[in-house]
Amino acid sequence: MVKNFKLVLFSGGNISIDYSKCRDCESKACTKFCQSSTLEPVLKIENGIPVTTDSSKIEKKNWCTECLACELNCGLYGKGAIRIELPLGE
Amino acid sequence: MPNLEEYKAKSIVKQEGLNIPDGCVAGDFSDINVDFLKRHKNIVLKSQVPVGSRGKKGGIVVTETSSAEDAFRELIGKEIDFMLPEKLLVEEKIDYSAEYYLSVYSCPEHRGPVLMFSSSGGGDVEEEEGGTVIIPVKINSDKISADFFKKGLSAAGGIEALELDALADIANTLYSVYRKYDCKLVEINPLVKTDEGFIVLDAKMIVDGDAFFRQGEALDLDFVEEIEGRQPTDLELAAGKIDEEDYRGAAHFVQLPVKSIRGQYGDKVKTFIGFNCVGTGASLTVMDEIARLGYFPRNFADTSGNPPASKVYRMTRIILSQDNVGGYVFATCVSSQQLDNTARGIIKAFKEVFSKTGGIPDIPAVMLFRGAWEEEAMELLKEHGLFDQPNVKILDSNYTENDLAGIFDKLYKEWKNGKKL
Ligand code: SF4
Ligand code: SF4
Repeated sequence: MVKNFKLVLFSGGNISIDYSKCRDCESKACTKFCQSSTLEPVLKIENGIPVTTDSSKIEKKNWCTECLACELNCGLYGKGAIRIELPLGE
Repeated sequence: MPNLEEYKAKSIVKQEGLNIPDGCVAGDFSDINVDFLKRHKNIVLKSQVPVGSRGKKGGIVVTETSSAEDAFRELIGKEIDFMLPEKLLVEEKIDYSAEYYLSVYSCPEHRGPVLMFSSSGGGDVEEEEGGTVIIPVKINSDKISADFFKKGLSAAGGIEALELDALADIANTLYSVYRKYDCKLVEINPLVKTDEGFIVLDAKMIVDGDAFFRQGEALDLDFVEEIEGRQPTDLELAAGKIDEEDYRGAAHFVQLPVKSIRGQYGDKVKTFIGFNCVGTGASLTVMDEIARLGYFPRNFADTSGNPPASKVYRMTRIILSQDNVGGYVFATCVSSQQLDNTARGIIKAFKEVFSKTGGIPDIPAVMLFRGAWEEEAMELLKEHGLFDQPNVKILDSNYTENDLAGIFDKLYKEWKNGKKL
């Protein structure tokens, strides 16, 4: 079984993806607008699930630009598998 | 610009060698050491709220120790300029024969620190005529020269030659506090003359906000906006954390005092609004236009400088978690920041705050998006169902701040009359 996705964010908080919801998703909308701070996006689809395009960049500060598009698109067109936690006041 | 409470400023000048009264800080009468109460027949209770002329406003009480408990309870429950103290400073009462004013502050005119002295200290020092001598201190010197200080001070008159040496030493200590703690101002008022020498009866320190990175921890300061004259609210502290480690764009947030606005404007206040802007110039115009119609900002906020959507999300959550908010207004200047990201931050916050109504505000909300990525922002708001909602109006660059105010007014009145979600 593939481990669920978790990406720690520069501003604190994280992005998590519940892969059990992704198998039946046709839209794969989470990757449609992914805009990293480098030329390559953060997310791509591999074997039907979203994964990072380059695992070596995960530690790079500000690689994910925290644009929130993946969560919002997944909520509208996907299966609501993405949750971006952005804690306040910590 | 962090403004230290009196008890903290006093403990610092004490560490640096100046005398302060015997005392302690207490949030409850039971926190006061019993031996302290036995040692002194008369004590002074001082409300730890950072307001000027505290004495005149009833924030300082002199009492016999035997009746101190009642006086303590009364003072800790007393609002001064709409602020309730969390702690009182409890000190021995000092008898003195003269009171002086002494400060070192960053003077824009001299482009450096300036020493200020008055031979008549106390609450009204700024109003006193005469007696105040301003001595510019050379910016590169480590120490104020005693002769230089004395020459300036003798012009104040009324000071005995013997006191000059002691005052010069105190001025030098104050100057070293100013330098060591990156102050904008360090002030003693009054500095009193007693049989045992000079004692600091009140002290104030304002630390330069730009020195936060090196003084924050040492002085136990919080990263907040300039809110001179009071302590930060919990939400301001939370908002301060947004920018603390994240350099991308800016997030500014200050709460406005509901009680004093109601006190000042009475029935003219229709409601308070949660407010956010991109660009402070536009925000001032919006606030002017909207307050004139009776809708007063509950807060000032600015999320500009092209922040990530996550920063706008956090700010929107904070704005919408305020009490007394009967509407929401967001406005941009004609901005160059990526407004689609700004819109995403707002949409995510709305989905969480207004989850029962599917992310659609259940209070009147007007949002004005003007500038780069404006069309993309509009598309997103449409996609997420925020267009054509009875409580929500989205405006683009065809609209002005004045239009926004009028549209909010209309929306609010309709909403009040029952057209609610
Ligand atoms: S859109 Fe959502 S459900 Fe679909 S693949 Fe992406 S994360 Fe999974
Ligand atoms: S927040 Fe934006 S940049 Fe980060 S993974 Fe999601 S879509 Fe990509």
